[in-house]
Amino acid sequence: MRILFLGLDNAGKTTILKKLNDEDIGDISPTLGFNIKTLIRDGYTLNIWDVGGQRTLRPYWRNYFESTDAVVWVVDSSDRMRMGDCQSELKGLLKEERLAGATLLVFANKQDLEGSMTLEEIRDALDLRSILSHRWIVHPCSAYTGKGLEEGMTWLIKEVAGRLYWSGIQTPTQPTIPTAQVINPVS
Amino acid sequence: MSNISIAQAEEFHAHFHKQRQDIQGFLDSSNLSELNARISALRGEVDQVSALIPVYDRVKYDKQLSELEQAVSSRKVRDKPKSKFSFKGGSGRSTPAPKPENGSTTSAPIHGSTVISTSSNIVGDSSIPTPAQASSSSSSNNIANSHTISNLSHQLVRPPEDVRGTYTLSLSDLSDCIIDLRPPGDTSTSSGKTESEVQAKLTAIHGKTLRRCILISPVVKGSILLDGVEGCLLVLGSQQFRIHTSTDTTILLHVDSLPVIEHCSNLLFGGYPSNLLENTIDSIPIQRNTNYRKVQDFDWPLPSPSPNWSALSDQESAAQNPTVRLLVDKLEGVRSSEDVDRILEESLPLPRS
Repeated sequence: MRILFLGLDNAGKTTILKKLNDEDIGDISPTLGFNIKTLIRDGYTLNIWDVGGQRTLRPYWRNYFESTDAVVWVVDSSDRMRMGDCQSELKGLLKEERLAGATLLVFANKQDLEGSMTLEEIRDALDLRSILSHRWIVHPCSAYTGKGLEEGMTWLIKEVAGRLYWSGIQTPTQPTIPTAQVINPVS
Repeated sequence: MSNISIAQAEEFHAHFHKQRQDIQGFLDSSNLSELNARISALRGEVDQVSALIPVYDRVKYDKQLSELEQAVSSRKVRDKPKSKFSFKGGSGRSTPAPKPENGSTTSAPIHGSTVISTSSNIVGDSSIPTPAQASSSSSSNNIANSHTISNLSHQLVRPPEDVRGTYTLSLSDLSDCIIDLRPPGDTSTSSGKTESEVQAKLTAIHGKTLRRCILISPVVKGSILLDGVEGCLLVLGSQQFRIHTSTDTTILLHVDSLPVIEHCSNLLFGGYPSNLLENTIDSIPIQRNTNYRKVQDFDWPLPSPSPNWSALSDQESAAQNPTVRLLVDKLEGVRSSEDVDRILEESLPLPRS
């Protein structure tokens, strides 16, 4: 499974990834280019690309779109001032043809910070309800404490696995409810 | 799994319509938590079938649910004094806990696992889990922990007084201001501060459009992100530091990672004054570092030094200590905007020895 970690700078993409991989998060510097990490979860190999979110780097995101199964959009839930920016970058991203069909996990990061935006506020600030082209979820997490990370990834893997599975067997004429899906990678 | 038939979609439509009317009927009589519970239960039902019903219906239901939520919020504002959350014991999936109202509560810890495992209402493209369905603790105090200070000039700005615990701060559109974010306990040696006041702790700073300001913060655990800073003196400490689109500014910085600049020019970096470092954070001893010399400039990929920033030498950096100390002491005596202007005049730009 190929997963792309994107979002504005300072969102916590690299920190989430390192936390998922049980690495030290104390000395993470802003990402100058990109990181690649391979994780094994639920029997799947995840190839995760974490690309820096600095404005200068955003035009390069498109170099990573090819054959992406899922996009993890990381949001700094305490960064109210840049939610507009965050919304327009995400919308631009989802228009990209090469990402059509990719599942979207919005990680509402930094929920450990008091006063960070609620899931509903983030949903509305990013205007997620207008997205009908991708299956999405907003999931709360804290890269600092690790809370919510595994759960979010589990949802994502289930989603993607379900989709890959179905599309391999039959034409996916209808979407399915994730809870009702049985993950069965070996068919 | 297949799409439900038109008849079934109609049946659900009738059911939804009935529920919605019921809720509307109770809008003025029922208590708020009950209304909220009913709305989120209904939302849950919609979410459960959302993948199977026509997009048009889905969008419409969503809109109507939002309207109900808004109606409840506005009622909440109306009878605020007695608006308290009451949580029913043993609420399961069928009776989700009431949802905290936007803006009036802090986000209580959200247990993601609960959200996922009871995921009837997280289904893809039409909904998200609401925080309260996952949280079991009530956050009954109304103290916001995210503060914004904006549109000020010629003022001395101190940390917000109504904070307890940890908080994040947004600063925007400030000009000719002195912003001293050190906790109140640090600014005076006198006693008489209550414990909660001393404990209020800043964890992250976002700043936008700061002109001719002096900004002094304690070393914060999270990150600092600034944009549009011009002609300022910044004394800052954090885990990560980023500054965008800024110019002519001196930054005395303690940072645990490599600082990043983007679209900046004429920035001067030095170390965080050691005499402020001592009492800036409670328990964790701060390891002095010289990361301020390792600035990463996104506009300068070449190995030669970037023309956009420079760093003070050790000696120069140390020479700033007494200057900043003096400045901080002067803040105690500020009584008027003239005092602020005078200090800014004396301190900006910081004389380079």
